[in-house]
Amino acid sequence: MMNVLDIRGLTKKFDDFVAVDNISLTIREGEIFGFLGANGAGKSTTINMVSSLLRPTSGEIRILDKDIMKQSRFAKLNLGIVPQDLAIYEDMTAYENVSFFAGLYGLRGSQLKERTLEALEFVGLSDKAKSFPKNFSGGMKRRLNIACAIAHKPKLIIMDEPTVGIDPQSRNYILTSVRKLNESGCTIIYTSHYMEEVEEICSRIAIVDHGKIIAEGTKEQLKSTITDVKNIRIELKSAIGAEGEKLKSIPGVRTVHQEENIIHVHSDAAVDNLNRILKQLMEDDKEIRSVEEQEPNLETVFLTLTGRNLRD
Amino acid sequence: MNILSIALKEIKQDFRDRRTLLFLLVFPIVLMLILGLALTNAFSSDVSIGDLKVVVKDATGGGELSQAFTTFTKEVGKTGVVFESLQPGENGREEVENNRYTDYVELTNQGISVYGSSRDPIGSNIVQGMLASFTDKYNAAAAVARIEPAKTEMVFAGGKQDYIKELSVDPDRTPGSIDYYALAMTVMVAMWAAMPAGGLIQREIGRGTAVRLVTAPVRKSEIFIGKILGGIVTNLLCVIVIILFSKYVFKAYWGSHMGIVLVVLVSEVVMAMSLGLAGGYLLKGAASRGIISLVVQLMSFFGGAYFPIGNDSGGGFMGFLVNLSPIRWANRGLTQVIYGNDVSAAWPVVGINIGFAALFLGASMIMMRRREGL
Amino acid sequence: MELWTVGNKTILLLFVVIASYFTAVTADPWLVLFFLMYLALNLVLHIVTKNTAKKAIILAIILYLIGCAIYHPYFTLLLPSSCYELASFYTRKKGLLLAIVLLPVLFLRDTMMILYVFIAVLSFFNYVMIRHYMGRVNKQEDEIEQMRKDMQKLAKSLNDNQDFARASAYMVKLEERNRLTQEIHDGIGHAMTGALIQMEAAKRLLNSDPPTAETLLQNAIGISKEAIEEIRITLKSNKPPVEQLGLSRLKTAVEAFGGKTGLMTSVVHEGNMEIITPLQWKIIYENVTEALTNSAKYSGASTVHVELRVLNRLIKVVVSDNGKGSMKIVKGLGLIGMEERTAAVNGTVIADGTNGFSVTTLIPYGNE
Repeated sequence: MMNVLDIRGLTKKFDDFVAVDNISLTIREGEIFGFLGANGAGKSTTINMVSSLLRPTSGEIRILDKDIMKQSRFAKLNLGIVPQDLAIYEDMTAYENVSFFAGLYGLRGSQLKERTLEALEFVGLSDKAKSFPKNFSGGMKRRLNIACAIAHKPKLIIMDEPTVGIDPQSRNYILTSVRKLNESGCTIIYTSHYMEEVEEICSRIAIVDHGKIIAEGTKEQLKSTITDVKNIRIELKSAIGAEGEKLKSIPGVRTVHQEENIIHVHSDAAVDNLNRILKQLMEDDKEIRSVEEQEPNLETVFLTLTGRNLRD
Repeated sequence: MNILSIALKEIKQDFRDRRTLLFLLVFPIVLMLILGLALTNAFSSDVSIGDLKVVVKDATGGGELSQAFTTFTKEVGKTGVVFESLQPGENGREEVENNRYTDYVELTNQGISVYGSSRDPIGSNIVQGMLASFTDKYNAAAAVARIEPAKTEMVFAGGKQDYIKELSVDPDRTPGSIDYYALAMTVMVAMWAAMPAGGLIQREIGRGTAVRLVTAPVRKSEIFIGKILGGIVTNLLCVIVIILFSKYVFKAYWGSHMGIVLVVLVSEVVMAMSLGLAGGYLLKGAASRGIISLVVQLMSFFGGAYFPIGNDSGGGFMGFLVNLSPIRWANRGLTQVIYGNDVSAAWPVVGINIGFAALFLGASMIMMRRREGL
Repeated sequence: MELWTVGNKTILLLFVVIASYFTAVTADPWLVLFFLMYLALNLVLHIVTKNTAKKAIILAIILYLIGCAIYHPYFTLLLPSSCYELASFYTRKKGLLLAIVLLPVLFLRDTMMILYVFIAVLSFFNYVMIRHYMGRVNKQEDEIEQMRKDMQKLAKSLNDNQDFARASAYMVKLEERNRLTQEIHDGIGHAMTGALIQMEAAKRLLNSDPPTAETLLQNAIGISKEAIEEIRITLKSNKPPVEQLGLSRLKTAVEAFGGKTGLMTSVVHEGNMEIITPLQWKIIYENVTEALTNSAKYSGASTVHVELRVLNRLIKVVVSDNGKGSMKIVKGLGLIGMEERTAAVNGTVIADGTNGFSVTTLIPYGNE
């Protein structure tokens, strides 16, 4: 598989302050790559260097195996940026906005028109093509912001907090769009404050803190850096006290501990055995009142590794 | 191509911005009307040809030139221009400097030299224009005389007409207040191009769209040139609308060299844009707009956009300030073109403007290259 | 700096000389005298070394110029540079200075005024720029000097450390050898000697008294067995468990540090310490020590907390204090050293100054 983005030893200093500290990273084709980090962790600086808004102090960035400094046109043609702050012209219609930016990527004439309409259609703004963004809701503006980045069909799309401050409906729409874009062959870099979003859509995640990548991998891998245990809490309607014993033989289960009608099961997080546990209980004709599976989530991973909450 | 689409986008945005239109079109026109009506008296009496006094020193000791010149003075004298001979012991140039005469004309066998007063530019221009016209005629006559002496008379006979008409200066036509303000406002609006230019790049940054422009496969210079081009077109369109409006609605006088007038104005718009751009780069941030508009307003004020200030004598601190204003240069150049019929007066102005434009543009280019982002 | 001002003043003087003396229709010998006086005063200025003397002379020059200015206005043009010279000893308020220098404008007319303003502003600009650059040059020289010192110090301490490390490693080895020798001598040596004697006796009695010989041999076998057991015990007791070594060493070091600096310290550990390899222990130990030193030096903290957690695939060590922290972290040698050490085992170091100061070392372990 091709590496869509290759970062080697990337560093950015602002005077004495090291904003990005020797980051190396590879993103392969077809991934949705999540960047997690608090404000000022170096996410945006990294992204700005990839999108050639900032010059790296040192290090190398390659997009589709071409150095972005040496072959900047190629890199830029294959890159779509959805900036964190809205980057649209309020005094131009949605159509004009998309068309103008797509035009900068060399699209002309009927092709330009086609792609513009396609992009607007994609974000569900076809019927608003002739309207001015002044009259748009926050979510619609965000969607237009995305449309402006995709009309030229880039291979790599960078989305910097695309869901900041919008209603849940638009948010879902955007998440669905991200998935659709990914399915259509785009590789996506996604940054967000919202752990759940990242956990939901990203295939691989890097946690960035103080300009460094402190952990990287699939969400399972990230979680397993912290612990390999999950806790399952099962509440039965009534119990005699020995229901838990049989569960110990189920693969992955490490310990079982029972307090009256509540059973606590510690199990390997990597083994998917909840169904078998429940099946076992049901075979024994136990009525289950509630089940709770406590797996470590990204929030806990982040908290454990950095000692801080993401939204501090 | 990218340059064009960026320019087009700029123009589109500018014309959708009602404030721009209000600022660049309605405001100058209204101001022209108000000032033109309110200050009518400040003008017509001031510059009337009746006041033109020219002192002449004839060093040819008679001869053809001298004769022809006498005919000319008689002819022109009817329109109220008074020619007086230089008294022995008087210094012609000093007389002009002391403002006793508008011009000092010296006839020698080598030709005619004119020392104009800078205190009364319009009067001086008129005299110079008439003299230029006279010399043309005289030269023609001299050429005819060399080939066919008999026909010399005819040249001058044909010339028994209003020299001033020939100059396209209507003797009844003095620059009235509307004429003055039509010109002054137009020049001022051209200079105002500097104000939006200061925010040209800043605006993109403020909207966040700078990010998109920089990440698009477009060279920075293309963005830059496209935006300037758009700005120039917008401002020029405004300038043209104001000219047409003043010409046909207010019946302001624009002379007979519209093309040249436009060339001067184009050069001024370009210069103003570059000035604004360089200022915007140099001063960065929100303060830049304020400072640029302050500078432009000062230029407008000292350049005589609101009411004629001082005179061209260049004396004193005020004269110094006045002469610093590009609006003044353009005003003076254009006055000469329109009323003095002196096309050549336009070129130095155009030259200076283009020179400064190149300087400012160069400076902005260098700053732009150094900067990260836009 | 001096060369610049001298150059500026020379150019100015030349201008004034040309403007006042050579353009006048009749040569004025008084002017020549005044100019020479001015030159002489300036020469004196550059000869004296004491600052107070310099100031006095500059003041004299200024007064002299004012006097001369009454005779010929062009002398005012020489005023600004002297004023700036004087100002370079005192004020940093440039605006005020310019205002003062521009004061004479009130007494000047027409071209003189313009000329004076021009020269005053021009030399003001020069003065400001020179000061600016001189300030920079001085600062950079100081920095270079400081860096040179630092480098020497570092090189020296590097050498010292290496020597010390070598020496102490040797000492430890010697001690250890000594102790082992003693133990072998005390325990096994005696046992073996006992066994040997019994065996010798058994050999003699082998033919004459086989049953006694057998008893003796049995004794010797028993002693040898015990000796072997003792060897085993000795070896075992001499090979301490790594985690004990690492953790207790760390705790001791932190406590010793607390005792030395008066900071409250605490060490918390969680997880399976056994998986930490000696190399990782070494890095942890060094990072913690370094971080503690930093806390003591810069933070103004009263407590330092050390936390060591072994997670599923990661070892996390945090040294955090309750000091003033720092919003902007500038990497010093210490931090860079930690980073380099940690990078050797694929780990990272994060320094965070938002809430007190904390240094987190993350070291991955296990097979991924």
